[in-house]
Amino acid sequence: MDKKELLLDKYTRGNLNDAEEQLFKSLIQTDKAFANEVRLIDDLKYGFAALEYENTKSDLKEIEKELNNSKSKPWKWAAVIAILLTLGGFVYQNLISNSEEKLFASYFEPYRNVVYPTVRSTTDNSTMDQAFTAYENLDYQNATVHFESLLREDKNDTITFYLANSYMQLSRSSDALALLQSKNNSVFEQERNWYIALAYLQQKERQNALTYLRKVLQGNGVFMKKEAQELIQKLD
Amino acid sequence: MEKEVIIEHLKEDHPEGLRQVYLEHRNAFLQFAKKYPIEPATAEDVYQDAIIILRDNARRGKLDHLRSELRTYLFGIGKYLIYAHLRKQKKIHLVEDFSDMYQEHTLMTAIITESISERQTQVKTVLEQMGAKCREILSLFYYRGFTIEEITDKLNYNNKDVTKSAKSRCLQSLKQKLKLMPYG
Repeated sequence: MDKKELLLDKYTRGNLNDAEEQLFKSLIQTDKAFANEVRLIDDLKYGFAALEYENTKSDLKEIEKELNNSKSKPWKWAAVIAILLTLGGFVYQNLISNSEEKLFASYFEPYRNVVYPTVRSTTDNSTMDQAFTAYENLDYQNATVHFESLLREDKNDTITFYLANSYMQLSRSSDALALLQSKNNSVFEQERNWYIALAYLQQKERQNALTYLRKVLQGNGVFMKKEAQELIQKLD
Repeated sequence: MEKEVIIEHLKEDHPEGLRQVYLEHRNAFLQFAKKYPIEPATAEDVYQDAIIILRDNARRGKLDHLRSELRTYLFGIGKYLIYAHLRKQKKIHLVEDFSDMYQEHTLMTAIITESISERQTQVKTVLEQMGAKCREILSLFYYRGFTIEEITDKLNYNNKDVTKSAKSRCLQSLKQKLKLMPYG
């Protein structure tokens, strides 16, 4: 392979060293045939990347289509089953047993990160940063792992609270309850009561949920008072 | 699945690799995108583009020593694309600090965020019209950066001389077709 060919090959793979880069640039200026080869390589790189983009895009759209189809089919079945249940008179029973779940779903929203502003940089990789980045990205699985490891080092009230929130998002309400009830957290007292109530709701324990919702109403702050009032009316 | 395994699958064109990573983060991303003033259909479109960039970067070995979670990295790309979209629509007025976000400029990000020139459209058309075998060899060489040895391996050619002559034959025929275009 001659020197020019070698340079072109290395350019194609993007691994020219500094000296080769210099030579490469001067050849483009002085050697028209060489410059044309470079232009061809650039065109091919672009053209193939564009084709790759189009092909992959259509594959991904196909996956999306499948998702929509598989979503619509269970719906049809759900509709049929719902009608059958109505006819059989079971729908009332069904609504009752679902209502805690429904109420939980409409009222539960993980507490937003107000404690630790995440700075998304590739260099800062502390566990604290990873935990809150995962939390903000709704990746509660990883948030849990990181918060747990932070908590092992330091029994911090704040971390306890965010870990409990992550547990609930993962439907681990008994873990959340154990954590939230493990101590009196004065900083987040009202928030704590609200989420204990929701964890009980997730576990379908109405009476306990109501007890804690009433505590929210008795609190000094405004946090979730309106929602607590609404929920009490719906549950009572 | 382990992050390293997923990245390896993406690099090696594992048949299920793309689908797995797409489905794993899809719902979370669409949720995440609700923070921004974009339509759900645009969010879906952006997510697909982010996945394509993710795989392109994996293939280029850029994720080999990734320190953050894969999802964090993927969402970073997504956020960059959302920003590019909003900027195009002139809907963004630096309400958020984007200075430390993902902003690696590659060929793939250019294809997604910039408009294609007439000449590039012509090249793409010529490539589409080539035989599948030639297109594969040239794509492995020019887009994926494979060496002749690696192509020999991947396409099961007898030896590298066979690969070499096939590659140069394909390139010649391509040059012929490109000559018909206004070139150089």
